[in-house]
Amino acid sequence: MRNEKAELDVEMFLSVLRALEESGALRELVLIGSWCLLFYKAHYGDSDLIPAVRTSDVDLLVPWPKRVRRQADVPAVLASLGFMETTSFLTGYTKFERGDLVVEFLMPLRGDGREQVVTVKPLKITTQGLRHLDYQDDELVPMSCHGFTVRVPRPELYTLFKFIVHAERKNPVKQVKDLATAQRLSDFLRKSEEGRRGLRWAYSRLTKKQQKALLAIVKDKDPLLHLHLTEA
Amino acid sequence: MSILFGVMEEEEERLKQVLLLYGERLEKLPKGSLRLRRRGDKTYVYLQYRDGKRVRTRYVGIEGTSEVKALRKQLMERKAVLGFLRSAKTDLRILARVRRAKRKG
Repeated sequence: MRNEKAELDVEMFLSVLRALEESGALRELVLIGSWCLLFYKAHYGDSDLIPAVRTSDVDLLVPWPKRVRRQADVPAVLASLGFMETTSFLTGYTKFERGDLVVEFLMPLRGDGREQVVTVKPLKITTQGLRHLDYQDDELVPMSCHGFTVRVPRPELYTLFKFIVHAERKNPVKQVKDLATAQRLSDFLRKSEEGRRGLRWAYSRLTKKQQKALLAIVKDKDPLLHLHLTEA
Repeated sequence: MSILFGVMEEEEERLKQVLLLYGERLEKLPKGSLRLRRRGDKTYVYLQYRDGKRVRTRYVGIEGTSEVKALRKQLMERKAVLGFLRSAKTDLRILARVRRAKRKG
């Protein structure tokens, strides 16, 4: 059950993805952030147990910014949809804003984290580095919503990363939102055998450091997930 | 602001459904808490719960058995579902307040 206003927002969001697909840029991108929930919800038969809360930020991940070969003029594509480019003078990072929507391009922050902003010349954009975005190819999955398919992180992995990220957040509002999303997704996934298996698989894909951090968080915040991940 | 209001309305509808779903789930889960009694080298587990004004105690089994593990898991699940229900009710109250304020303003 979705209301008309929300349908309109989704249509606005999908128009961005559609334009990026037509330009060829979408093949280099992965949808991350709160808009993934829309695709997860559709994938799991519109379950009400998956939260619908999403922000105005449309986060698109460029997994390997320096390996992008496909040419596309992303700023021009977004400008044709009415988005305005805003650049940070400090870092050189660019975002695209139009009223309610903000399109941002992110990349995994690897190594010592010195390269915080990287220019992706073939797409004419800059990407900002953030931790816990280092998804391998088999950790991404195509999902459809409203007849549109895009690559998103596997929901089980998305859930575990949400737990880890919430603890590292400085903004308390975002922290609460991340935790609520992670707890509800975890509860939903644990209800099916496929989901339970997926959570164990996702846990096995984390680094030792991430596993340790996750267990410390869920011991208190989601004891059932802790039990599921630690029992033999 | 339209995204915000659209999402809020959608979330309000979802939360109403969630209340029903969690309510149904809660009915299937046992109430109470576990009490442990140590006798010799064994720990015996009892479920203590309220039945009207009375507090009842039911023997579950020896610590570590599958019955005890399963019950402990169900009690943890009940606690989690109660938490979700509480936060869904709070969110609904907040959303209703915002809707009222929007109508006035």
